[in-house]
Amino acid sequence: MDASIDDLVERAVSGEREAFDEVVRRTYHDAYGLALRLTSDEEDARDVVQDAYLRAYRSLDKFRGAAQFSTWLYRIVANCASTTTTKRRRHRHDELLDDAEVAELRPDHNPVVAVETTELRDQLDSAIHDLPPRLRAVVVLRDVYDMRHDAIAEELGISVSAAKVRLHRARRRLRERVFPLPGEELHAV
Amino acid sequence: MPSNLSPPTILQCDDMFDNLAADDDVVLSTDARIHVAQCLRCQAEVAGFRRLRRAMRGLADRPAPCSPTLELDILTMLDEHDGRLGRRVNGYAAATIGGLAAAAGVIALAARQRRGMRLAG
Repeated sequence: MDASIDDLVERAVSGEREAFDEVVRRTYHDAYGLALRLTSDEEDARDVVQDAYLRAYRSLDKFRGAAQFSTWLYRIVANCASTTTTKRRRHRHDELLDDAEVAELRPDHNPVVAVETTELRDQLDSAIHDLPPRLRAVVVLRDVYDMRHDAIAEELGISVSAAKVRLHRARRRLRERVFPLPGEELHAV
Repeated sequence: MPSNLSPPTILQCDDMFDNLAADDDVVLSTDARIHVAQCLRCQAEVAGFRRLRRAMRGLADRPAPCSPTLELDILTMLDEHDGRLGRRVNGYAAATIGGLAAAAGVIALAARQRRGMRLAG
Protein backbone atom coordinates (compact mmCIF):
# COMPACT_ATOMS: atom_id res chain seq x y z
CA MET A 1 0.00 0.00 0.00
CA ASP A 2 1.26 3.48 -0.85
CA ALA A 3 2.45 5.52 2.11
CA SER A 4 0.38 8.61 2.91
CA ILE A 5 1.86 12.02 2.24
CA ASP A 6 1.96 12.66 5.99
CA ASP A 7 4.01 9.49 6.56
CA LEU A 8 6.36 10.41 3.75
CA VAL A 9 6.84 13.92 5.12
CA GLU A 10 7.50 12.53 8.59
CA ARG A 11 10.14 10.18 7.19
CA ALA A 12 11.64 12.98 5.12
CA VAL A 13 11.84 15.19 8.22
CA SER A 14 13.73 12.41 9.99
CA GLY A 15 16.30 12.48 7.18
CA GLU A 16 15.09 9.87 4.71
CA ARG A 17 15.94 11.32 1.33
CA GLU A 18 13.98 8.76 -0.69
CA ALA A 19 10.85 9.77 1.19
CA PHE A 20 11.38 13.40 0.22
CA ASP A 21 11.84 12.35 -3.42
CA GLU A 22 8.43 10.69 -3.28
CA VAL A 23 6.95 13.83 -1.70
CA VAL A 24 8.34 15.79 -4.66
CA ARG A 25 6.81 13.33 -7.14
CA ARG A 26 3.39 13.64 -5.53
CA THR A 27 3.33 17.40 -5.09
CA TYR A 28 5.32 19.06 -7.86
CA HIS A 29 2.41 19.34 -10.30
CA ASP A 30 0.39 21.39 -7.82
CA ALA A 31 3.42 23.45 -6.82
CA TYR A 32 4.12 24.18 -10.48
CA GLY A 33 0.47 25.14 -11.03
CA LEU A 34 0.69 27.71 -8.27
CA ALA A 35 4.06 29.01 -9.48
CA LEU A 36 2.74 29.35 -13.03
CA ARG A 37 -0.30 31.30 -11.86
CA LEU A 38 1.87 33.59 -9.76
CA THR A 39 4.57 34.24 -12.34
CA SER A 40 2.60 33.85 -15.60
CA ASP A 41 5.77 32.52 -17.19
CA GLU A 42 6.69 28.87 -17.71
CA GLU A 43 10.44 29.32 -17.33
CA ASP A 44 10.05 31.43 -14.22
CA ALA A 45 7.60 28.90 -12.79
CA ARG A 46 10.12 26.08 -13.29
CA ASP A 47 12.82 28.10 -11.54
CA VAL A 48 10.46 29.01 -8.72
CA VAL A 49 9.43 25.39 -8.14
CA GLN A 50 13.03 24.17 -8.08
CA ASP A 51 14.03 26.94 -5.73
CA ALA A 52 11.03 26.23 -3.51
CA TYR A 53 11.80 22.52 -3.18
CA LEU A 54 15.42 23.26 -2.38
CA ARG A 55 14.34 25.71 0.33
CA ALA A 56 11.80 23.22 1.64
CA TYR A 57 14.42 20.47 1.73
CA ARG A 58 16.91 22.66 3.57
CA SER A 59 14.36 23.72 6.15
CA LEU A 60 12.49 20.45 6.68
CA ASP A 61 13.53 20.54 10.33
CA LYS A 62 11.44 23.72 10.70
CA PHE A 63 8.30 22.08 9.34
CA ARG A 64 5.69 21.72 12.05
CA GLY A 65 3.51 18.69 11.57
CA ALA A 66 0.46 20.64 12.75
CA ALA A 67 0.31 22.44 9.41
CA GLN A 68 -0.44 20.63 6.17
CA PHE A 69 2.69 20.07 4.10
CA SER A 70 0.97 21.47 1.00
CA THR A 71 0.13 24.70 2.84
CA TRP A 72 3.71 25.01 4.03
CA LEU A 73 5.04 24.32 0.53
CA TYR A 74 2.61 26.81 -1.04
CA ARG A 75 3.92 29.51 1.28
CA ILE A 76 7.47 28.77 0.17
CA VAL A 77 6.42 28.81 -3.50
CA ALA A 78 4.64 32.13 -2.95
CA ASN A 79 7.74 33.59 -1.35
CA CYS A 80 10.01 32.39 -4.17
CA ALA A 81 7.58 33.64 -6.80
CA SER A 82 7.41 37.02 -5.11
CA THR A 83 11.19 37.30 -5.25
CA THR A 84 11.23 36.28 -8.92
CA THR A 85 8.46 38.63 -10.04
CA THR A 86 10.04 41.52 -8.14
CA LYS A 87 13.32 40.91 -9.98
CA ARG A 88 11.49 40.62 -13.28
CA ARG A 89 9.59 43.83 -12.64
CA ARG A 90 12.83 45.68 -12.15
CA HIS A 91 14.13 44.30 -15.43
CA ARG A 92 11.02 44.73 -17.50
CA HIS A 93 9.69 47.93 -15.90
CA ASP A 94 6.46 46.13 -15.25
CA GLU A 95 5.67 48.67 -12.56
CA LEU A 96 4.43 50.92 -15.36
CA LEU A 97 1.77 48.33 -16.05
CA ASP A 98 0.64 47.95 -12.47
CA ASP A 99 -2.06 50.57 -12.74
CA ALA A 100 -2.96 49.86 -16.34
CA GLU A 101 -6.52 48.86 -17.01
CA VAL A 102 -7.21 45.24 -17.83
CA ALA A 103 -7.89 45.04 -21.55
CA GLU A 104 -9.83 42.66 -23.76
CA LEU A 105 -13.39 42.11 -22.75
CA ARG A 106 -15.60 39.46 -24.24
CA PRO A 107 -19.10 40.93 -24.14
CA ASP A 108 -20.42 38.13 -26.33
CA HIS A 109 -19.62 35.67 -23.59
CA ASN A 110 -22.58 34.64 -21.48
CA PRO A 111 -21.20 33.76 -18.04
CA VAL A 112 -24.56 32.64 -16.71
CA VAL A 113 -24.45 29.48 -18.80
CA ALA A 114 -20.68 29.09 -18.73
CA VAL A 115 -20.14 28.90 -14.98
CA GLU A 116 -17.70 26.17 -13.99
CA THR A 117 -17.03 25.29 -17.60
CA THR A 118 -13.70 25.07 -19.35
CA GLU A 119 -14.47 28.24 -21.25
CA LEU A 120 -15.03 30.18 -18.07
CA ARG A 121 -11.89 28.81 -16.48
CA ASP A 122 -9.88 29.67 -19.57
CA GLN A 123 -11.26 33.19 -19.45
CA LEU A 124 -10.53 33.46 -15.75
CA ASP A 125 -6.99 32.14 -16.17
CA SER A 126 -6.46 34.66 -18.92
CA ALA A 127 -7.81 37.50 -16.76
CA ILE A 128 -5.56 36.44 -13.87
CA HIS A 129 -2.60 36.28 -16.24
CA ASP A 130 -3.27 39.87 -17.34
CA LEU A 131 -3.39 41.25 -13.80
CA PRO A 132 -0.35 43.18 -12.58
CA PRO A 133 1.91 40.78 -10.64
CA ARG A 134 1.31 42.36 -7.24
CA LEU A 135 -2.48 42.07 -7.61
CA ARG A 136 -2.27 38.63 -9.16
CA ALA A 137 -0.30 37.17 -6.27
CA VAL A 138 -2.78 38.09 -3.54
CA VAL A 139 -5.92 37.05 -5.38
CA VAL A 140 -4.44 33.70 -6.46
CA LEU A 141 -3.17 32.89 -2.99
CA ARG A 142 -6.39 33.94 -1.27
CA ASP A 143 -9.16 32.94 -3.66
CA VAL A 144 -7.64 29.96 -5.46
CA TYR A 145 -5.39 28.46 -2.77
CA ASP A 146 -7.32 29.70 0.29
CA MET A 147 -4.24 31.05 2.06
CA ARG A 148 -4.83 33.21 5.13
CA HIS A 149 -4.45 36.99 4.83
CA ASP A 150 -1.61 37.12 7.36
CA ALA A 151 0.28 34.30 5.64
CA ILE A 152 -0.06 36.05 2.27
CA ALA A 153 1.18 39.31 3.73
CA GLU A 154 4.13 37.60 5.37
CA GLU A 155 5.24 35.69 2.27
CA LEU A 156 4.87 38.72 0.00
CA GLY A 157 6.61 41.01 2.48
CA ILE A 158 3.71 43.45 2.81
CA SER A 159 1.28 44.45 5.56
CA VAL A 160 -2.03 42.66 6.01
CA SER A 161 -3.91 45.85 5.17
CA ALA A 162 -1.90 46.28 1.96
CA ALA A 163 -2.67 42.69 1.05
CA LYS A 164 -6.38 43.32 1.58
CA VAL A 165 -6.32 46.47 -0.54
CA ARG A 166 -4.61 44.59 -3.38
CA LEU A 167 -7.09 41.74 -3.02
CA HIS A 168 -9.99 44.18 -3.22
CA ARG A 169 -8.62 45.74 -6.42
CA ALA A 170 -7.84 42.39 -7.99
CA ARG A 171 -11.30 41.00 -7.32
CA ARG A 172 -12.96 44.09 -8.78
CA ARG A 173 -10.86 43.87 -11.92
CA LEU A 174 -11.56 40.19 -12.35
CA ARG A 175 -15.27 40.62 -11.79
CA GLU A 176 -15.40 43.48 -14.30
CA ARG A 177 -13.44 41.46 -16.83
CA VAL A 178 -15.10 38.06 -16.48
CA PHE A 179 -18.61 39.05 -15.41
CA PRO A 180 -19.09 42.55 -16.82
CA LEU A 181 -22.31 44.33 -15.91
CA PRO A 182 -24.26 46.16 -18.59
CA GLY A 183 -22.26 49.23 -19.58
CA GLU A 184 -18.93 48.03 -18.23
CA GLU A 185 -17.93 46.54 -21.59
CA LEU A 186 -18.21 50.01 -23.12
CA HIS A 187 -16.08 51.62 -20.41
CA ALA A 188 -13.29 49.09 -20.71
CA VAL A 189 -13.03 48.82 -24.50
CA MET B 1 -42.83 46.82 22.34
CA PRO B 2 -39.87 48.95 21.17
CA SER B 3 -37.19 47.11 19.29
CA ASN B 4 -33.54 47.21 20.36
CA LEU B 5 -32.49 46.78 16.77
CA SER B 6 -31.20 49.95 15.15
CA PRO B 7 -32.90 50.87 11.89
CA PRO B 8 -31.01 49.78 8.79
CA THR B 9 -28.67 52.38 7.37
CA ILE B 10 -29.08 53.42 3.78
CA LEU B 11 -26.41 51.84 1.64
CA GLN B 12 -25.25 53.25 -1.66
CA CYS B 13 -24.22 51.11 -4.61
CA ASP B 14 -20.59 52.19 -4.21
CA ASP B 15 -20.58 50.93 -0.61
CA MET B 16 -21.98 47.65 -1.84
CA PHE B 17 -19.29 47.24 -4.48
CA ASP B 18 -16.55 47.91 -1.95
CA ASN B 19 -18.00 45.48 0.57
CA LEU B 20 -18.45 42.73 -1.99
CA ALA B 21 -14.90 42.99 -3.26
CA ALA B 22 -13.52 42.91 0.29
CA ASP B 23 -15.72 40.12 1.59
CA ASP B 24 -14.24 36.62 1.36
CA ASP B 25 -17.56 34.81 1.33
CA VAL B 26 -19.91 37.38 -0.23
CA VAL B 27 -22.26 37.19 2.75
CA LEU B 28 -24.69 40.10 2.86
CA SER B 29 -25.46 42.06 6.01
CA THR B 30 -29.04 43.07 6.80
CA ASP B 31 -28.46 46.53 5.34
CA ALA B 32 -26.94 45.05 2.23
CA ARG B 33 -29.81 42.61 1.76
CA ILE B 34 -32.32 45.44 1.97
CA HIS B 35 -30.37 47.43 -0.60
CA VAL B 36 -29.89 44.50 -2.96
CA ALA B 37 -33.57 43.62 -2.85
CA GLN B 38 -34.31 47.02 -4.38
CA CYS B 39 -31.35 47.42 -6.71
CA LEU B 40 -31.02 45.39 -9.91
CA ARG B 41 -27.45 46.54 -10.54
CA CYS B 42 -26.32 45.34 -7.12
CA GLN B 43 -28.15 42.04 -7.60
CA ALA B 44 -26.09 41.52 -10.74
CA GLU B 45 -22.96 42.60 -8.88
CA VAL B 46 -23.57 40.12 -6.06
CA ALA B 47 -24.21 37.33 -8.56
CA GLY B 48 -21.01 38.23 -10.42
CA PHE B 49 -18.88 38.16 -7.29
CA ARG B 50 -20.37 34.87 -6.14
CA ARG B 51 -19.71 33.26 -9.53
CA LEU B 52 -16.22 34.68 -9.54
CA ARG B 53 -15.43 33.27 -6.10
CA ARG B 54 -16.81 29.86 -7.05
CA ALA B 55 -14.86 29.76 -10.29
CA MET B 56 -11.65 30.86 -8.54
CA ARG B 57 -11.94 28.01 -6.06
CA GLY B 58 -12.38 25.60 -8.97
CA LEU B 59 -9.07 26.68 -10.50
CA ALA B 60 -7.07 25.01 -7.74
CA ASP B 61 -8.09 21.61 -9.09
CA ARG B 62 -7.16 22.47 -12.65
CA PRO B 63 -3.82 20.92 -13.51
CA ALA B 64 -1.25 23.12 -15.18
CA PRO B 65 0.57 21.60 -18.16
CA CYS B 66 3.95 20.69 -16.80
CA SER B 67 7.29 19.94 -18.45
CA PRO B 68 8.06 16.18 -18.35
CA THR B 69 11.61 16.90 -17.19
CA LEU B 70 10.65 19.07 -14.22
CA GLU B 71 10.50 16.19 -11.74
CA LEU B 72 13.94 14.98 -12.79
CA ASP B 73 15.32 18.52 -12.67
CA ILE B 74 14.09 18.98 -9.10
CA LEU B 75 15.47 15.64 -7.93
CA THR B 76 18.79 16.21 -9.69
CA MET B 77 19.09 19.62 -8.06
CA LEU B 78 18.49 18.03 -4.67
CA ASP B 79 21.15 15.42 -5.49
CA GLU B 80 23.59 18.21 -6.28
CA HIS B 81 22.73 19.85 -2.98
CA ASP B 82 23.45 16.57 -1.20
CA GLY B 83 26.68 16.08 -3.14
CA ARG B 84 25.28 13.03 -4.91
CA LEU B 85 26.14 14.09 -8.45
CA GLY B 86 25.58 11.62 -11.27
CA ARG B 87 23.10 9.55 -9.29
CA ARG B 88 20.45 10.02 -11.88
CA VAL B 89 20.82 10.04 -15.64
CA ASN B 90 19.10 13.02 -17.11
CA GLY B 91 16.50 12.06 -19.71
CA TYR B 92 18.08 14.20 -22.39
CA ALA B 93 21.54 12.85 -21.58
CA ALA B 94 20.24 9.28 -21.75
CA ALA B 95 18.63 9.97 -25.11
CA THR B 96 21.80 11.58 -26.43
CA ILE B 97 24.01 8.70 -25.27
CA GLY B 98 21.57 6.17 -26.71
CA GLY B 99 21.41 8.03 -30.02
CA LEU B 100 25.19 8.23 -30.30
CA ALA B 101 25.54 4.52 -29.51
CA ALA B 102 22.96 3.62 -32.16
CA ALA B 103 24.67 5.84 -34.75
CA ALA B 104 28.05 4.26 -33.99
CA GLY B 105 26.51 0.81 -34.39
CA VAL B 106 25.03 1.69 -37.79
CA ILE B 107 28.38 3.11 -39.00
CA ALA B 108 30.27 0.02 -37.81
CA LEU B 109 27.75 -2.28 -39.50
CA ALA B 110 27.95 -0.38 -42.79
CA ALA B 111 31.77 -0.45 -42.71
CA ARG B 112 31.74 -4.21 -42.12
CA GLN B 113 29.33 -4.76 -44.98
CA ARG B 114 31.51 -2.62 -47.31
CA ARG B 115 34.59 -4.58 -46.26
CA GLY B 116 32.73 -7.85 -46.86
CA MET B 117 31.65 -6.70 -50.33
CA ARG B 118 35.23 -5.65 -51.20
CA LEU B 119 36.59 -9.05 -50.12
CA ALA B 120 33.87 -10.86 -52.07
CA GLY B 121 34.53 -8.73 -55.17
